[in-house]
Amino acid sequence: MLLGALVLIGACTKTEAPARAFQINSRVELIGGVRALGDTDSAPRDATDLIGGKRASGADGDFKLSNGVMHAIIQNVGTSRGFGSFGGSLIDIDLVRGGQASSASGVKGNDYFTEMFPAFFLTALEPAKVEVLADGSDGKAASIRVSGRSGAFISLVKAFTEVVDPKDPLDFTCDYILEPGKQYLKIVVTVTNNGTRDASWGLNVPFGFVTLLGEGQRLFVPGQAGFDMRFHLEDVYKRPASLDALPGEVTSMWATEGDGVSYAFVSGQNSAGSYLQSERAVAGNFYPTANKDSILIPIASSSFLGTYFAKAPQMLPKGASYSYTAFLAVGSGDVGSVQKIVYDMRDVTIRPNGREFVVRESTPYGTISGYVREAKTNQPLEGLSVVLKDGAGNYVTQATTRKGGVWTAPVPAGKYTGYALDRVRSVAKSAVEVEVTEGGSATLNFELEQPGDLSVTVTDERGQPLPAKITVLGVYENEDPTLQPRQFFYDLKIGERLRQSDLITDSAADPASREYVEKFFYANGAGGRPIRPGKYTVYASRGIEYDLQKQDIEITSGKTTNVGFKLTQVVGTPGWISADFHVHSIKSVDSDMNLEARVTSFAVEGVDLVVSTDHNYVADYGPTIDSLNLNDWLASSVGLELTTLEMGHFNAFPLALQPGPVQHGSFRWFFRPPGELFAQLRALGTDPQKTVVQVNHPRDTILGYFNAFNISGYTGEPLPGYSAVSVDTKPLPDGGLSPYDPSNFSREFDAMEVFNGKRMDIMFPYRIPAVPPPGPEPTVARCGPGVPANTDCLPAPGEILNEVVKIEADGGFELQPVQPGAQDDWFILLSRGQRVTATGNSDSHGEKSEAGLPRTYVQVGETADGTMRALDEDAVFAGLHAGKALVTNGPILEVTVNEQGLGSTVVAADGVIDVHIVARAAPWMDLKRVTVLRGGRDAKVPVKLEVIDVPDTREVNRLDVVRRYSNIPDGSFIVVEAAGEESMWPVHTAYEVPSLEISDAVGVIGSSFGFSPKFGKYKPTQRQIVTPYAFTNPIWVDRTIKQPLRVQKRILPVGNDVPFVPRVMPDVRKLFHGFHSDPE
Amino acid sequence: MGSTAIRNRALLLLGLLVATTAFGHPSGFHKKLTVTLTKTKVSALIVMDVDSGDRCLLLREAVDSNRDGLITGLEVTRLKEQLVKLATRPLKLSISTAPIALVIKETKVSLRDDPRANDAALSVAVLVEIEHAHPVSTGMEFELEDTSPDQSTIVLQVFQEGVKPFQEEVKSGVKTKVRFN
Repeated sequence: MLLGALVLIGACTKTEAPARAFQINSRVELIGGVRALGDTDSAPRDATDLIGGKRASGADGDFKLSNGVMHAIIQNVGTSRGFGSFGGSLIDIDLVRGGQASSASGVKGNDYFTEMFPAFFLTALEPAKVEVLADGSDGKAASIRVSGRSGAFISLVKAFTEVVDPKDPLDFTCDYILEPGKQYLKIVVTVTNNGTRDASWGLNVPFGFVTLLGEGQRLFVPGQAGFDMRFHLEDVYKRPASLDALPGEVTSMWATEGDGVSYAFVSGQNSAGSYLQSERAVAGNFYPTANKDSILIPIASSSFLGTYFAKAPQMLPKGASYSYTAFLAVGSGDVGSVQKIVYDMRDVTIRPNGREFVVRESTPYGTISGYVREAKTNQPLEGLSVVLKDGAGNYVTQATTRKGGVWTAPVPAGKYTGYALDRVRSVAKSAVEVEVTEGGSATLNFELEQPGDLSVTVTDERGQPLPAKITVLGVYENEDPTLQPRQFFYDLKIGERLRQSDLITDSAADPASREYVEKFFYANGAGGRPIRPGKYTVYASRGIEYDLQKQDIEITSGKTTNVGFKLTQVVGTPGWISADFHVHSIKSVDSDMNLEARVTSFAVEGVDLVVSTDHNYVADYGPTIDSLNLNDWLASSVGLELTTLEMGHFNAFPLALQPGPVQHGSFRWFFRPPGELFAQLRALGTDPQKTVVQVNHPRDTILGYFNAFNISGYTGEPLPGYSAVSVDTKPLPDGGLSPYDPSNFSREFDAMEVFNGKRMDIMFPYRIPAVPPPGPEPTVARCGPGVPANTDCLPAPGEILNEVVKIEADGGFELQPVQPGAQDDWFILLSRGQRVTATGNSDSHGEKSEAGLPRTYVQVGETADGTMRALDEDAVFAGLHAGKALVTNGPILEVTVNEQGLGSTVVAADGVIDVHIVARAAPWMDLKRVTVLRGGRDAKVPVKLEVIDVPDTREVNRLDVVRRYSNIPDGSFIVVEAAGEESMWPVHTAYEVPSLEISDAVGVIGSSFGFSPKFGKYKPTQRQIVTPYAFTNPIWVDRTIKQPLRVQKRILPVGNDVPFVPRVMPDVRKLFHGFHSDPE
Repeated sequence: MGSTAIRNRALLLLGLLVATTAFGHPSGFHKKLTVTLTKTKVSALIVMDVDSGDRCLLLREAVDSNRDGLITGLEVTRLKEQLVKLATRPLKLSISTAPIALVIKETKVSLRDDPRANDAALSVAVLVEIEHAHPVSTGMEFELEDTSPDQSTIVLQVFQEGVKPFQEEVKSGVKTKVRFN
């Protein structure tokens, strides 16, 4: 009988699939998904079928863990395929889909994870080896080990790491462990001092992880932040920081909410203690809410999430090790599903003395569940979000409603209120507070209003369907002009979407000052969306060549409102096409815009040519344009944005997409000088000599090439590193030149993105505003008599704010704008005779950054007119190389000098030129002035030949004049610009919420070290409205005919099959000391 | 034992070495050079293992000056010097044909846990560090020629940052060239 019972128990026990660890040698074993690489349209058919997703960051040669429940991929050594520097990171992680339990089957996945790697304060692990430590064949946990030495993943912070890190490099291992049946990875990081002397850290140093979630996973941090870490961290940064306590959010975990997959990260307890409960942190009461397994998040933006919790030992003796542990769980899409895994998690290790050590203790919880229905129809609502807040005001969890409108979430015992929301209804707040006990359950139901529907048709003047952008504008109520809409109109903490506003100071008396975008969408001749009931104004637009039409409407619950528009092209541009040479899609880790929406966004903005330039990924938008039948409106070319971490971002196009490699041709950039990168980018081109290499946003924080090399905004020459936060230009350990050495600055590029998106702040140098902004006062004196020229000072309003750069070589100094402008950099290049074409591109990553804002018009010839199916791609890039290009976000300029157009060289022996200027603009934008500029060898900063006031009219033709200028020196160039002053709202929305950047994190950490901004409140602001602006590429003026010098461009073939060699060389001295010897 | 005896033993050892050179066999001397090249210096670890047998007996007995059957103190030093000389004398280094002088930083000897004047195996390790007297640039060549006492092959590893290491078993007396990255 006992035997029978045992047999019965055995039969009823569910068989658990074993965990496995192995190196991938077939694409069958990759994890698919939207975040996974592998282009459906261009990859070989067999590979596509095997991967099953749109992008795969895993590749042959990487390492995989799987247990039939979840699986993960760790990249082999090399350069990061995410956003970091090195390989060896966790790059894919997902549930095993489709009910398949085989740990190595080719499943259709939903990986939405970009990258995670251990971080030791600001130092990372530079992997030299990845290996299977335990393959799981014994039925126990499977594990993969990444080992290597410490290495700075951002050399910008070397000044800090040199102060705090041990003098000798340490050896690190990172073990990724997966147990059978578990839905989480255990990650154990071990630091070992294999050096010949003891290692010590100069400060209280935190250890943890850096995670790059990418767009599509919305970060939820339990506590006061909820879904709004962006503004919450800004508030946190205002708190006092200390050398012993980095500023940041203290919480129990971070989690995400995403489409079908979600993640949560928690720390394990570490025997050496917690950073947040270190003696110094406790003594200073820096983290009063921290407990033994709290984590600290000092930085969180869409692409970069820092999580610290372990405390480095103050001293690690020779031969000693130190370990810390963390866990990463995978859920089914909402925060609740992944929190449940975390709460159930219990991890125990056995110490050498035989005693148990609890690394992670489970958390008792109860369950709240309910349903969400529509009020009038009683229909269950699926896919809505429910957020729960506890009695102390902390946002605790989020759940997504499933079929039948039901939802469930685990919560610690306590009292809760809830919110139910989606994108088309007003938020429903629970009328009652529910209480739940440990192990108990409670119910919370919601009813939401029924939206109305808006249906729109758009035609051209001949009645033909026309792609157009539909913007639905509302007016909110507000009587306090000091408040931002997020403070009273919507709640980012519960996950409500941001509604863009006009950035005009609110006035209770003026509704026009309180406008916001309730909804916008793309209509390819026709379209519609559900909308919250209310009164709105609907706008139809099609970019800068078309007029703008509007209608007032009222949306009623449950009813459809129909609106028809007719748009007219009012500004013709025969022979020219408009192009955007810098855009992103879901193929980039920081964009969640699918290809259909991506290409449609360009068609509705009237852009003729889009060049795909995804981060470190060669993509082809052509098949998507075909499938949507948008070819008459839009053409595309294949390109790439080679994205380095701190050397700059560089585009290349038109490229040949390579179907085989995972990133279709993108290559390793780490630690290569820019000249080599440019030559390698050319090699990817369909015709390498004709490839356009473009430097993007050269003055955008650490993402800017010219900033990385400290290029003077006045001379164009590299300056010595003048900031505490500068890239490392010291010679390499092997004595070779640093890739950042000033001599490595290369000008072998063809185009420069002078105008990037809505970023006027990086196109022009920062000047002191007439009205002082709020904020701390500067610590420097006002410039004037008595203030030495080599001392930082505050100039008068309207003047460029400079800082003094000391030149150690000769004891002198130079001035450098605090924020140099890309346009001045371009002018300096032109003055040297370098024919670099200026471009303007949107750098759009999503719907909120408008496609084609700004754009570059290129003179192409007859194929520019009519259908874009016939566009001559060669002519476009030849025109761009030749500088036959106009950069604009609205106004159109036609300029000739002595009847020759942009990019031409005019020979004016007598130095007299006739400049013909025609300025046109759609009626919905203003134009105030046109400026004629002359630069040249004698004028690095161009001189204004004339400022011409534009008549105050909304007619399309604003100006048509011929101006004669004399005494034009040999080697000059003429550039004409046009500008308006009024906001282009609502066609072009304002740049309202800049994301927190890595530089913000560096700045915060810098402030911990006592670096305070000397200019206080005077600093560039990204938050700004969009006003009309355009400028031409130059027309060159010589006194004599000169034969142009033509030099073949350098090409360096890229070998994707060249094996990666770690930079770590054996330490011969260490090997010698390891040799056993006998006493003499 | 006087100096004549020592000289005789040394001659015997030399004869034996010449004999092994002539005949060559797998057991004997095992030489491995691990070299790291940078733009500022050459670092090398030379390890030579001597298999147990007559060579070791001769080497050990030759330095056992007090004839107590144990190799201790100064005798170990003398044995080390013998082995270092054996390991380094034939090594020729140059950069793009310009010879560079060997700079020995440290040396170690291992009696393989057997201090007796017997035929037990021996090992020696030599740390070499040579700062470049002249600038070295990409494209120049590091040249190495070594001879094993018994003409057996030598394991040579040359590492440079970011370059696939050169790792080969090279023939004794043959010059090997590695390009500076």
